[in-house]
Amino acid sequence: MSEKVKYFAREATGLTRTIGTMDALVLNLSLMSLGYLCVYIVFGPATFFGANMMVALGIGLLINLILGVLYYMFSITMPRTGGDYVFVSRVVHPAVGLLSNFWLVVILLTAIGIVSVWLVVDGIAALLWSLGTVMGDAGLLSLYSVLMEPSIQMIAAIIIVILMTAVLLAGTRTYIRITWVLFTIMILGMITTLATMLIVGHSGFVEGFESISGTTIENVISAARAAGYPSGVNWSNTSLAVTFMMLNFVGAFWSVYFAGEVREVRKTQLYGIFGAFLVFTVVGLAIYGTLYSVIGFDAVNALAYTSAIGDPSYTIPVMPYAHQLIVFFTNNPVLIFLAAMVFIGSNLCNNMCMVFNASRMLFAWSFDRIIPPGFSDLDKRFNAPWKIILLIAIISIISIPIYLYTAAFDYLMYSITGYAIIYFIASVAAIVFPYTRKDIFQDASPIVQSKIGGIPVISILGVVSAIFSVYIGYSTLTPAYLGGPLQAEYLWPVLIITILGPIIYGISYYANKRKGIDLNQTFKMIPPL
Amino acid sequence: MRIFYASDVHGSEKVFRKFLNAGRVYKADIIILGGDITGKLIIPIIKQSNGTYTCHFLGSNMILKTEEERRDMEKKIRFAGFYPFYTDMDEIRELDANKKKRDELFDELMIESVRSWIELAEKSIGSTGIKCFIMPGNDDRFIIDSVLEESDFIINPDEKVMYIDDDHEMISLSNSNITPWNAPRDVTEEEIKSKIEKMVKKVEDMDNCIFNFHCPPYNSGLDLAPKLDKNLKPVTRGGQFEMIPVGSTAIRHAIEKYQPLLGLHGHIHESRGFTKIGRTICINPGSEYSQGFLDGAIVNLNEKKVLSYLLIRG
Repeated sequence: MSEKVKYFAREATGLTRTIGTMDALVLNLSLMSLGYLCVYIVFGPATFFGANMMVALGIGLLINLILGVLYYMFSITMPRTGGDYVFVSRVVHPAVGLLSNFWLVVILLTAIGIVSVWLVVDGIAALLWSLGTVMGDAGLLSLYSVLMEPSIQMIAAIIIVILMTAVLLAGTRTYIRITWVLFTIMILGMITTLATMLIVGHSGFVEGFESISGTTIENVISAARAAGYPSGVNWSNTSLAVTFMMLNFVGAFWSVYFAGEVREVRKTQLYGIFGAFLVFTVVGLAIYGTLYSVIGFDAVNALAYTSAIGDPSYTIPVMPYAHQLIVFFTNNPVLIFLAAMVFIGSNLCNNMCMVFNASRMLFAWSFDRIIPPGFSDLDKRFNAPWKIILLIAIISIISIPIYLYTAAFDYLMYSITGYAIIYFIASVAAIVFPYTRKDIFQDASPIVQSKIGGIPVISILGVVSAIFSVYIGYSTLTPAYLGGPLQAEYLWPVLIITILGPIIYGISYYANKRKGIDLNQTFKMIPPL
Repeated sequence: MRIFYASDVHGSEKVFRKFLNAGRVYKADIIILGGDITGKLIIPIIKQSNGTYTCHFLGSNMILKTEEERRDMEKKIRFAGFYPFYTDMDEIRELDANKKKRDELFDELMIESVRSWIELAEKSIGSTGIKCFIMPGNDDRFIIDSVLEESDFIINPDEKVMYIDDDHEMISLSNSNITPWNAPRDVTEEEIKSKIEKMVKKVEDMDNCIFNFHCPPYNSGLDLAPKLDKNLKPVTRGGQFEMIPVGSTAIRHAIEKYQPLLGLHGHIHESRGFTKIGRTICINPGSEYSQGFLDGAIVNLNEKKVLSYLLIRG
């Protein structure tokens, strides 16, 4: 027995962090939003003609794995809540850290309202249409029509934001519990949907499509050809379609943003991040593989294109997203409901996770006095940052009519450009980290300190991911992605958001300096004597 | 006047060295270490028959062949908050079988460590004009008090009322309410109340007084910790740790009743934050000693009020 003694411990206070491996995995998958894989099967090929989304998924995985490794390394070296806000601030400068993080918060704050509208249109309304169609229920179809009214969409989306706010105000435990329930239903929906498609097969789909659409899938393919859509795979466009995968894959390493709350940070982040990559890729390949093999590659792309341009050959009122195609395979209302839950569950998980993460980021800003510290007040009962959550709810509610009735959010088209900026900055931080912050680097784990040919691996990965970030940024500015030439007026918001973070930091820096506080000290590493 | 406050370094020499440097880095007039300064683990470095040494550190079995490797490992162990202990298998067996001997060894290593820290503090910042207060916490054995008293430079403020500058008095308390671990300085709420009342009577100006209490006030948001079952395992609900307030009700009542200028607290590592109880600003900077980070609070004061405060992680 004595030979097994590894250490002697005394009785003393032992305290732990709260987010475990499975929580981190599910929260990362929530941000990745498995259900949006169903949407990108339309967005991808409709935007980049001939894109093969299975291949795009693979390329996206490779690019984001590099970013994932980078963020993992930073996260275990500086396990703080705030993610790149923390490590870019420490390695480069706090103003640059806020530049990155401000972009992210803007993306999240504007996306929450918009994603709520998507839930109404592509989740609830589409489900009503599907059920109404297969059950021949005029009442459901009439409800569908009501929900397609922008004013009703606005009210429904506001109700969704209020409900999500209530969940988040009820504390992290309640939020994670609901996420687990939704996630489970979503996975169940995914399995039943793909199984149904595989069992019914191509002939069943052709028959079902003809029956509901009143046309044939061949007619849709011919119409797409006539409109100039190519047949087969376009490899160049496939590589550009990776931009859509970026929107999903970025979620894989979002546990770095609440790293200060995860227990056993090395293990949790390892399984949380790379487990999310694995699950997402497997599910993505299963969805796209099923659609391509059962419906056919050209048929899927033709449906995507004709629906996107409003071609008369596409006669269905709802978009041919993967989960909505179920209606051509079965008229079983339970299976149709479960298929809809793939999108609805995923959308809600994703949206609540955005509120959760935005609240953590704003909380970190408030904690660091970049915004007034009063915002970081916690509700005594549920330990939730209630002021910040309410602020997010208000901004999200305001954004809903703006999205529905104006073109002000067209700049969101450039949100992936924003991600490219964020990851380029993180990549630069990784390149310089071993050289500018030797004090932290020398104390990092052996994995982080590893070298190839005398050059730190983290710097090499930084160079590769910087190149990829530039490529993704370039892709988002191509005419194919934009649907036309680059418009300067849309680029203004990108520029403004980019410089607003450092400006806010500057204002806050001088305001705090007058009170005797040097904000730069927040991120200063103190060398031990 | 600027105070730099940190707590719960739990034997991490790296974090303690950062604490000593914080006065200079943040230009503080006073640095306060608010308790739990000693470590919780002894890591045996065991001499083998072939002349090498072995030890188990952070999940890995190490074989140390050279003097340099041993020194390097010793430093890593100290920086992480543990006590390195050179020994052989015979002694390991003896210690494993004898709790009293283990306790004595802990005492010996703690004294040695605290004494070396004090020497380091005197040598490195003794002539800078920075005042240094180091107080034990509930996890610290009483044996270290006498070591702290040996120094002319370090001030142990525990259970004392003292002026820390011309304007501000400070009362300090190392105790906490009873924890599941029955730590050396765990006492009942009644005892905490009695000790506070005894000190409060000697305070001349409560409006300008600082309560330097290791334990945070109950239900203040600075005292949330996982609920534990009878086997000291965290209770989970819905896959999450159930967090409950574990601070001291006596400290809460004292703050509500006397409304001092400032409350400085530690003890609950994951409840980093600040709050107001009436007019009193209460701060718990948290602790990440195991990661080698110094969590602290910079507090700027003038004669009558708290001008500003900032939590840092360095």
